[in-house]
Amino acid sequence: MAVAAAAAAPPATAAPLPAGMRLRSLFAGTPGMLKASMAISLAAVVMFGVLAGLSSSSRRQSLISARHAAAQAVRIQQVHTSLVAADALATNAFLVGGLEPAEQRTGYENGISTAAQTLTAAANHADASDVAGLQQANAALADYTGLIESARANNRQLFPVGVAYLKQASALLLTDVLPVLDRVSASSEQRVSNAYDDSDNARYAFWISSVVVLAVLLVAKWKLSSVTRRTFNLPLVVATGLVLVAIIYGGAAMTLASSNADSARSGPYRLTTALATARIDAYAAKSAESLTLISRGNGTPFEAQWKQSYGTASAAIQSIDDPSLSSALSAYATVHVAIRLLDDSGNWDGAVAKATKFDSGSSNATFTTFAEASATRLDTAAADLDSRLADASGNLDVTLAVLFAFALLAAVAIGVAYAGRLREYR
Amino acid sequence: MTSTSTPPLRTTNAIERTRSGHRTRSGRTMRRLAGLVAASIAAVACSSGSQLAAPSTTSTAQSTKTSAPVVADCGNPVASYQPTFVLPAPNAMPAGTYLKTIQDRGKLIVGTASDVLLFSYRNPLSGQLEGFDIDVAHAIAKAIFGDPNKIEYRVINYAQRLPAITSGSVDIVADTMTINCNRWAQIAFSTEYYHAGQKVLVRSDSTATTMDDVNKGGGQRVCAAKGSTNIVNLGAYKNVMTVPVDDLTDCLVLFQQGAVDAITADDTVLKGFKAQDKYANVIGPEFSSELYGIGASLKYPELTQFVNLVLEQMRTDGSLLALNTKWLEQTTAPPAAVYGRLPAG
Repeated sequence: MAVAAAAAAPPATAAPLPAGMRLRSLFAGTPGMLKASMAISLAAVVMFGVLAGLSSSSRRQSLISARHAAAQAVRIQQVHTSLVAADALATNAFLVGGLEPAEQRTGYENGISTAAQTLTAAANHADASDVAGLQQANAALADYTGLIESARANNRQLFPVGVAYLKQASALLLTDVLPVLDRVSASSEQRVSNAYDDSDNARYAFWISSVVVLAVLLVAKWKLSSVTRRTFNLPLVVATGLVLVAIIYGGAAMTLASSNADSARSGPYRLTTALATARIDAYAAKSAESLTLISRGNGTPFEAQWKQSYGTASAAIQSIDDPSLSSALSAYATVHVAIRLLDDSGNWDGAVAKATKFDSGSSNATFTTFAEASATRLDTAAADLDSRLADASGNLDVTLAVLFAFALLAAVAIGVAYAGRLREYR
Repeated sequence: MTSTSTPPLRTTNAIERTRSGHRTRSGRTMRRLAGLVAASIAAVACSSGSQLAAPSTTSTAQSTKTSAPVVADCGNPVASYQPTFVLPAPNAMPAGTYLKTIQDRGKLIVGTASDVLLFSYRNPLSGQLEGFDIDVAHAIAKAIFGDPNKIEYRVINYAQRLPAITSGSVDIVADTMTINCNRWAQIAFSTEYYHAGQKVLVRSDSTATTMDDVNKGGGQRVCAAKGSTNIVNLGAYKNVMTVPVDDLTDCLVLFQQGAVDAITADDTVLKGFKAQDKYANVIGPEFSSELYGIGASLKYPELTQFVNLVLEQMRTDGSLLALNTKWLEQTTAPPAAVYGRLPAG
């Protein structure tokens, strides 16, 4: 409505022009025209205050949504990573035979408890459309741990049915849990992207209302000076100045928020996504490595899976240009290749030893180096992302208040300007 | 799962219906099971047309007729190749034979299972494969190399046994494999080294005492491994619902989860299951004889002849009987060798 009024304003002031001569002869006795001019100026300033305020508030809301969606994406990635990590440990422990190493058991339990807690947190923050999926994933997770416990219980009694339970557990993770997480993760990432678009679009209302209010005030000033035959009307100059300051300040604040948000997106957000992808796929590769050996001599499909997962992980690490992580990951790959070489040459026992031991140069040791280094980097990036998005949206709080205050003061100044002139016609 | 236009889907729906109202836990198991069934039935459908209807429909006579494969005539199935040479000394395999190829390779490649307790299973404690079949493989490796451990294992499931041999990815298969004429059309068998029989395993609170009782129960879900003779024999029981799985031990998992009511397999396998689950009973007389042989390629009859010589030695020196005692606590004499088959070509 305000926009319509603004759009109507210039024609209203321009309308008298064709009949310029007639107006010129009539103006001295038309305080009504001054009143109309005042009303249009006031309306323009109020429209500016409202639209600029709304626009900064909408950018703020969008950035808050982006922050929440990004936090949710990070949460889901963490659930995913914890689960594949726990599964990789459980699978590896089975390969060892006999009692599982205590640290692997602890690692598995930590992974599951992190996943369960994070999943609950994710459900609390989830978009309505994701809630059902997350609940389903949570239920499947309970099933998964049940199957793993059956596998362990049977394994401890030396029953080979334990391996069948283990395989069923891993299959359940693949079919019932991970696809749901992928979906929720994708929808969170989409929401981040949408929020950025919304934040971007918020600027149009601001700049359009800025241009309109300035144009109206300039025309009003010209009109008033031609009526009063004075070059400047101080209060009106003050009003224009106030609006100009508000535009510059608001524009700067909006642009700053947006550039902070953009740098958060191209910096820590991209980093968290790449690191999470790398970690998820690296753990999946580690699981596949154990499965090639558990399937003794029949592990070709799992080796293909290893290659695919490793390729994705490696590409993700390359994309963030981190030489130390990159070399940590390739150190693990070197050990894996050596394991395959041993197994393919018929030395299954040697391959298993290399895949299950923890001493330096083993598959587990090199993998742990990568896992820990990437986890540290991911935590830092996630914290950085959150604080940058919080800053970007936080600054816009003040902007909103300042814009309203300036618009109000400008309105008062306009009132003063016209009231003085109108008094002269009483 | 929503369509009911084809028989296989009706099977899975029936399974889900019987379980409706149960906790989501079993619902999920059912869905997984349903997936298994649907997938396997689809697989069967690809290979042999109308056979897919057999387990699901309340069986017209026709569907069971077609489900029994045409039995190839190969004379006495247990008749193997008469050895035409004496057992060579270890590491002295005759030149130009496949045995020499194996010797030069330095390893005997054996296809076997890792989940059949007592016959071929991975000992969780040691991580190594153990069992009756593994011991037979060791004896063959020992005869070739003088070292029983020169073996490279390829763990396969039942359905992969024949393809593993025909594709040449393994030298021999020692995996509770029944000798029969259909298989003779694709692979060669050694002489019989163990006489097993097909039985059925039920819950310990079941009142059934024979396979016929299970069949009379109506709608009982019976699990069997794909690619086994057991699943073919089960086709004769028209009132049960067949639940096929890839890996035999998946049957025990489904049984323990309440997703199937019974498992049918060889008594040897079921004995292993019973050892892992005290709430199970193996019931009734065997309803089919399953005579085990070592499988090898038809292309190298000398390998089968060599295995026959090793088995002959094991019968003579009592080591085959010792394996019966060691793994199955049985003292019945191992089956005698039957010869009379001539290598093709």
